[in-house]
Amino acid sequence: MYSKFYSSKKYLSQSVSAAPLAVFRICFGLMMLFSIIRFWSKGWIEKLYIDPAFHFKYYGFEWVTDPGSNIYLLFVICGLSSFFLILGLYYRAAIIIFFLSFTYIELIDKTTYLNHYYFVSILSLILCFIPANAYFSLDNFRNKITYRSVPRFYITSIQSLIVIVYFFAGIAKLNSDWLIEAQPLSIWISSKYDFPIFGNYIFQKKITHYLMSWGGMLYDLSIPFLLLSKRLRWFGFSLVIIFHLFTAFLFPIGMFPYIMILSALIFFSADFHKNIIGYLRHLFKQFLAEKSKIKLQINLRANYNSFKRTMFSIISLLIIIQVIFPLRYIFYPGELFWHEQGYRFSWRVMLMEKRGYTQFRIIDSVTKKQFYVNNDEFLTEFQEKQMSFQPDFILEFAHYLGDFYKKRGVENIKVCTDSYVALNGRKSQQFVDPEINLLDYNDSFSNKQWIIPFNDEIKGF
Amino acid sequence: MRHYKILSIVVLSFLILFIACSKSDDDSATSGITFNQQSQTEDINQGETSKGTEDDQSENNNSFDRVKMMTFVTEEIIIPSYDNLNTSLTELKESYELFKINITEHNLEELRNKWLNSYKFWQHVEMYNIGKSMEDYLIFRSNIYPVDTVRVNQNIDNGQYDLENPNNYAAQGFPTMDYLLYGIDNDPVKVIDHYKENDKVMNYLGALIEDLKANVKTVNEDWNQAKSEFVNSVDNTASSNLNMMVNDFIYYYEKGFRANKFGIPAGVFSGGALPDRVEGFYSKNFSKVFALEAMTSIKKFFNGESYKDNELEGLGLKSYLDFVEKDKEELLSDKINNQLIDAEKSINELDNNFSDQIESDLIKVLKTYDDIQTAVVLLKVDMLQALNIAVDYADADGD
Repeated sequence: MYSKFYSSKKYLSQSVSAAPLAVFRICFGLMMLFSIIRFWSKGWIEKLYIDPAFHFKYYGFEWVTDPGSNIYLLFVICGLSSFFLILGLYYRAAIIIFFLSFTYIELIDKTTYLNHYYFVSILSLILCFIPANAYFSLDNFRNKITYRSVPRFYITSIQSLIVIVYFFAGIAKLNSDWLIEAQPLSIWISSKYDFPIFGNYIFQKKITHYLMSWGGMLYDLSIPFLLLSKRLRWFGFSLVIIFHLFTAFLFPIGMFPYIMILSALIFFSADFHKNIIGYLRHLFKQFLAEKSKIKLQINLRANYNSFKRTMFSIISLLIIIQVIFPLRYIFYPGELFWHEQGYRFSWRVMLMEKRGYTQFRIIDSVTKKQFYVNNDEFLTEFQEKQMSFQPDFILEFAHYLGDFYKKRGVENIKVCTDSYVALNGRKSQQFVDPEINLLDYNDSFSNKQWIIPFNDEIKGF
Repeated sequence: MRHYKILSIVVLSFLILFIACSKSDDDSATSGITFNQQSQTEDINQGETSKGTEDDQSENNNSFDRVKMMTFVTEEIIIPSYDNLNTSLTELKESYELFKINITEHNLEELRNKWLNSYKFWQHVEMYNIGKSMEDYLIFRSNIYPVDTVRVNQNIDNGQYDLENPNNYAAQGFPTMDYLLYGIDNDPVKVIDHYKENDKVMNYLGALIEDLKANVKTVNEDWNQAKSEFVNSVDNTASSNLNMMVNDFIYYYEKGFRANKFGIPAGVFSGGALPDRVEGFYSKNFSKVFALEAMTSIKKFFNGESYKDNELEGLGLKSYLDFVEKDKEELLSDKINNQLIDAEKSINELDNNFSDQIESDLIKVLKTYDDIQTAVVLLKVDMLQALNIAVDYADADGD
């Protein structure tokens, strides 16, 4: 036992080329810079952060304040720090600033939650503890040191995170809706009737929906092994490209496919990455001509030793948390897709076609007088859509309405809901007990008993 | 060196795809015009490719002919409804001219009847807040109630007003005519006296009729003109006409029908009944007539029933839904139709005068509201899920 641990420790502390880290840093910075410019240019900063009068907060992060128009400043900071990541200049500061600013933006409103934003947050947090500027960075010139190699552990940790994402995404597809009913892909794919060539015929076939569902599941579960295996790596990577580009064309999932494609490069050999860097060097040399002949190649290898143990423990802890956190759904009774307790932050991607309709009744419990709220007086359409089928949103909004109407002079106030939700092609069903006063409940990790149980069963994980 | 080559190829192709992809993204978002072109060319392509496999396709019934449905809805439902309204407004105008020349009780009665007739036809076009109608704010200029009587009287006194000014939306259209024809006094004789004594009222009524008639005519003509372009925009994107029409239908059912005609006057959103908020408040006896007309138009649109030929079996949301749900035992369209029939029954049990009904027995109105509401859930949640219609706001990323 001890020897096994010892040998794996030895394996992880082996010195390997730092080139993969450098390439990863550059790709990550490029992706993030592009994401931020894209987000801004589409007018989404205004639409998603400035326009809404009210923001839905993550449980435990209610203290995150709405920066108002300073949000633009946050985006500038976030964009600048990703630019510094590309250059590898002031790397440590840049990645910390990036992590903080990006995560802060995400925490402002959970309406915009996307798994790949969460992936970016987690990845950038781990990168804070990884010396991705060791090689091929401007910091090398600043510090007059370049490290050709780093302990293998740093590369393994990034790989593990990617494996975790694919693994949980694959496991989550092992359910009866996905595999036996081919839902929600049946609904989604057949509605892509306007897709060139395939739309009108192939996408309408039931067999296509099944092939895609099973294919997606097999892809997620097998891709970590294909990428880890030396022989099958190129095959795996072609699958990565085909799969993600296909989803990019089919669904409005923004940058996610590209982030996943570039991230997968981390599995390639040191030689592969050295080639890329060689190519980039070649490019730069052409640009810079022979003006600046900087020769500061000082090689220092295991200089990270003093630091390594702390970093090793921190990163390991972060990875372990990532393995455990998605499993929290086990503690909640009932159907996960229905109550969504433990659904987020678990790499459950594209598993549900869910729509809801939720109206709130403000009741004076003494006079029994009541009236309905017009949700659109408080929420944007996007927020209303997200609120309508997610219990924590419903509860948070109920409390917001309670406070709002208390101030308006409604006494003995109760907030009840008429809520209906439809999941994966099933007919709509009442979602929240209409008699229950939501003001009696506060959000917590305990089970939300006011949700009416799902009247069907989805087998699997 | 071999890796080097492979790598550059991969990177290059990746970049190209990336650019192509982000480009197509922008196109769909920017303008509807390029969009229509796209869908048309696509249509032609489809036409070409389907030539060879035509039999194949019809046998397998793989795809629902959305263009055919749009054509049916446009030619057999929307345009005839506008034609009806247009004709009735011409008649309204004629009877107004008669009344103006000869202010008698009989002519007032005629005028009132023509107004009622037009207002009933209006119930069949209000839901199509799309294209020219949306551009011209036709709904805002035709049927905003309650009437802003202060504003109306100001306009009458001034003799000068801009009906396109949003502040005047509640001082024109059918509701204001209702006020001018019935609201001035309960006794028709006194109404006549009022018109005899006051040219300005007569002129204002004339201006409103003329304006409404012109507005409807413009929209009607536009429908005939834009028809072929309209029916071909059937992509599943927020800006396609098909999706906009479905979204408009649901929006109308929820706001124009459910909230305006029932919810608001019954106090569903305010905690206290507001009986003066009913449609046709001054004429008193027609709120139910209008509501039933509206219900008929909703059912006809949903089921795809022609306004020209009752026998003609058409295409509508029902056939679209049934196509999508061909494997299901319990059809959503049946559920929706049953619910609409239930709601219609409840409406039928109400008093002709909704104000009276609200004051005498509010519970009945609230029950009707609930029956109407039940179908909102079916339309907005179940139907939109089944058809997976892209909605207006969904241009942010998903995952």
